[in-house]
Amino acid sequence: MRHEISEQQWIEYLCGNLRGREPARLREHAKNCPECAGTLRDLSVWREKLADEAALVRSAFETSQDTLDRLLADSLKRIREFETGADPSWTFREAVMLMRLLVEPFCGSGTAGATIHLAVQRSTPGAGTPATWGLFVRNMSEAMSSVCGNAAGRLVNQVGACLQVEGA
Amino acid sequence: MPELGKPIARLWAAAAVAALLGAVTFFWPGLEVLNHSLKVVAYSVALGYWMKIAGDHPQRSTMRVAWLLLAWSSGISIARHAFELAIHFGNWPLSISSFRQIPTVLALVMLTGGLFAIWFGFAAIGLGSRFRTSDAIWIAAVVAFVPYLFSLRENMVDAKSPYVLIRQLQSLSPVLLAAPALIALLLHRIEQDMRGGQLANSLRLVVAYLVLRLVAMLIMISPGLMNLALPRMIAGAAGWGAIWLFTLAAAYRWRLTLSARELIRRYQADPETELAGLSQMLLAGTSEEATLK
Repeated sequence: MRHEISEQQWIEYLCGNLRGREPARLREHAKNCPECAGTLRDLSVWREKLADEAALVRSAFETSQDTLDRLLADSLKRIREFETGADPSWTFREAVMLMRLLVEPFCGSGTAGATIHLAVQRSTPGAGTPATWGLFVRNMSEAMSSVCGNAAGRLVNQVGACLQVEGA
Repeated sequence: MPELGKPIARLWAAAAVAALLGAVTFFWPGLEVLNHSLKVVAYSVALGYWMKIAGDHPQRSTMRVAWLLLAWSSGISIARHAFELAIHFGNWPLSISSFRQIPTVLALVMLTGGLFAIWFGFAAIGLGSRFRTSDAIWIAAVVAFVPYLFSLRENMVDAKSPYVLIRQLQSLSPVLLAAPALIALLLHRIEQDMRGGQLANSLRLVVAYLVLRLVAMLIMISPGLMNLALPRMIAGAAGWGAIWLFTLAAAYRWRLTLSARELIRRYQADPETELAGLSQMLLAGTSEEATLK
């Protein structure tokens, strides 16, 4: 703390958070004190830099946040469809996430991830060709049976058959 | 969840009672007779579970072989402890009692084979095959113990058997104890890679069983520790209680099968409601991710 004004107070001043006579007091002090004026100048420069970096980070996340919002809206729509008795369909990716949620309590997220990875690999006929749902379910069921038993494999098959997947 | 809560609670209670009895047997050696009786019970329960679990796996699958080997190990251990009981009540001389080494070694070989098959089954899907520095340190520590165990083999129960074969089998004990301990480290890596789930609970118990057995054995044959009350109490508790962890591992693994069957039944009865529940979980997970971001 210099001249009874802390850095925190200077930051609050820059952010416009000070109330009453405080902003005027600090402004007057900075006019008459070269040392504190220097501190204020440095803090202003850092504040600007941080604001620029924050803007960059926000713009980097903009797309994924949009995607996330869209996913949330889609999921809500599907849940509503379930509630009204309509027959919803899932994208391949959403259906895989549902299968993952299904098996995680049994075998853990690591094993679920490994079996899904294996099933996707086995269900993709060529590079860039999307996996087909039916084949994926069979392969995941097989992988689950091999480590968690036939009951877990049958469960994967059963739920896989219940899910309507777009383009399947 | 299916109704395996009570059996598991009973097995935990049995483990606690066995550990307690094992701890106090230093003061009341007469209790030793209960050790083999309790182990026969524990291995019998485990055998039943391992057989049912093996039946839930595809024919010729690696995991089926693994569970069957553990079942064989349990079956041979039952014979071994029944033999120990007969030795106790029959007051048989060492020339006869030392034959217990045959089932002991066979059970350890089966156990090692079964554990290796479990690791192999998981390695096939990419789990437990990437080791870290900490794993290497533990493996080195277990391997470093083998010469120490070899140096103490004269203290082992059948080291003075009149039969060369039995003495040789007994001298194999350090290797046969170290091998499952090494595989326990591999299983621990798998269990970490699994990141939760019922199957990981089962593997964790197998690891605990193997480690506790090794601890008990080390204390019981170490000249500096074998006559001290506290180490002997720890060894007793570990030795008597560990087998129940093996049985509990089987029970937890069987619970997975029962849980899966229960879910199949629910999906057959009302797939829409179950899928709605699952999608709610997906939504909750996605919302959680959004909040974290």
